[in-house]
Amino acid sequence: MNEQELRDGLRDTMAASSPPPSMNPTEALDTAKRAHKRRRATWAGLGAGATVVALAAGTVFALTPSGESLPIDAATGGVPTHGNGPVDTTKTTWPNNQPDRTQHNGPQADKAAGVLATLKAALPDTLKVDENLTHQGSGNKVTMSQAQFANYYGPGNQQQAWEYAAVVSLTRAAAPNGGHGHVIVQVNPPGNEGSSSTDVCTLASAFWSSEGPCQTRVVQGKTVGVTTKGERASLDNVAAYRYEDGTVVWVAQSKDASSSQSTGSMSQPPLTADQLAQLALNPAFKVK
Amino acid sequence: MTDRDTAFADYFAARSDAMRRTAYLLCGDWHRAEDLVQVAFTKLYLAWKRIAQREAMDAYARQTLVRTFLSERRLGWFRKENVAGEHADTVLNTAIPGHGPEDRMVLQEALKRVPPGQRAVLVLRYWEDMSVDQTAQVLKCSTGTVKSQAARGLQTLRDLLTDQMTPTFDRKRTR
Repeated sequence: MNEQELRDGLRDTMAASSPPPSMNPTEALDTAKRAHKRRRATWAGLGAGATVVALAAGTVFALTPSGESLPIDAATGGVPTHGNGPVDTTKTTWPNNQPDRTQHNGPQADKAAGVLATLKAALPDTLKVDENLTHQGSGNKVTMSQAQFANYYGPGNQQQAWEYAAVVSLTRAAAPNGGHGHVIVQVNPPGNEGSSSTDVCTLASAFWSSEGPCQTRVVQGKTVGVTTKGERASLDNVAAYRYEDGTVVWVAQSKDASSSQSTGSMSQPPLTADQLAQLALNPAFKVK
Repeated sequence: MTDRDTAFADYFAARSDAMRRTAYLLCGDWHRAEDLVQVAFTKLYLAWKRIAQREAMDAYARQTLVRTFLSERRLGWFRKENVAGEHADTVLNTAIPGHGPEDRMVLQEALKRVPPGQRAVLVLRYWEDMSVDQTAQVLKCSTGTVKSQAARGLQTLRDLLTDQMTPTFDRKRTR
């Protein structure tokens, strides 16, 4: 199990879980208000207690002219704070009031959808995209696109770096019942901290911890890194290409369906390694 | 109802489900998860005037949730109170999408057996998708500790999964 596999495992697990009904906001508010009242009462008590402690400390200080500090905190018993100090508002926060990294609707989501459309259009006629295959339990379609916020960058950390991913579930056009495979494209525009390397093999190997051996291929005069399947890798091949401006395009494939539906896997990966490398060079993937 | 109460109730309605899922991954029990969420939101209510931005509320609530979980584990309170934690939820959750029912149950069970500190790092890094820096801020530790705890947690999970039952556990990206 690598990082990506754990990430996916957690999401699949929660997507198919059976949580109890949502918690009641009114009850939560009542509990919070009761805690608020208790705390006010506690502070009032502590205020009176502190006066007593201060008087006692003053008395003891008078008896210890060396000036050594005394364990006043221990004497008061302390206030259980669980370490919750003021919030550091300088932390990275999701842009546009998003609750998480993913933008489900909006300009970034549209760009990811564009990557998916490009991928579908660029596949050879020997492959057929399955729009309906779903992940069991969650019901999410395997063929999908996703835009995720990556990090802030640039002067004053004012610019947003995003990553755009698309996945297609595939069958052989000549054998639609012969099992499913899938192809993934991810595009990281400039500024993305996850694609700072200039070495295409480093980039290819880093994609979902591919871990397999990597070789460079020169296609149309451009160098692409292509991995073959490693021992723990879930992907058969990953191709990575880096544009001069820092944009990185990954194209990965697997002969497995990426679904629990009993469709079976392809006997071979959907594309050859050369086709994968050529696909990575498709300029239409270069999202701006 | 005051403005603060109204805003709190609205915020709770919007975010408590997501918080409860994170809490569930931390403690492995829906009932305990609800307790953790209640504690986190109560502390948020008490600190409401200090936190003006929605993003800061998210960060504060998440931070409080994780620290409360770790604090209770250290005190041993959770172990004493978690009388039903090993049963109902895992029995219900027997269908992992993509990999059969046993794999999902095994992942949940294995995660519960990862030491709490490592588990917290795994949940923040791979469920909340937080960066190493953000995780370090929440847990008040160094980035090096986060990296080492994440690596150890993953290794612990690998060992547990190998020991238990899934020689072909092989997750794919499904997001």
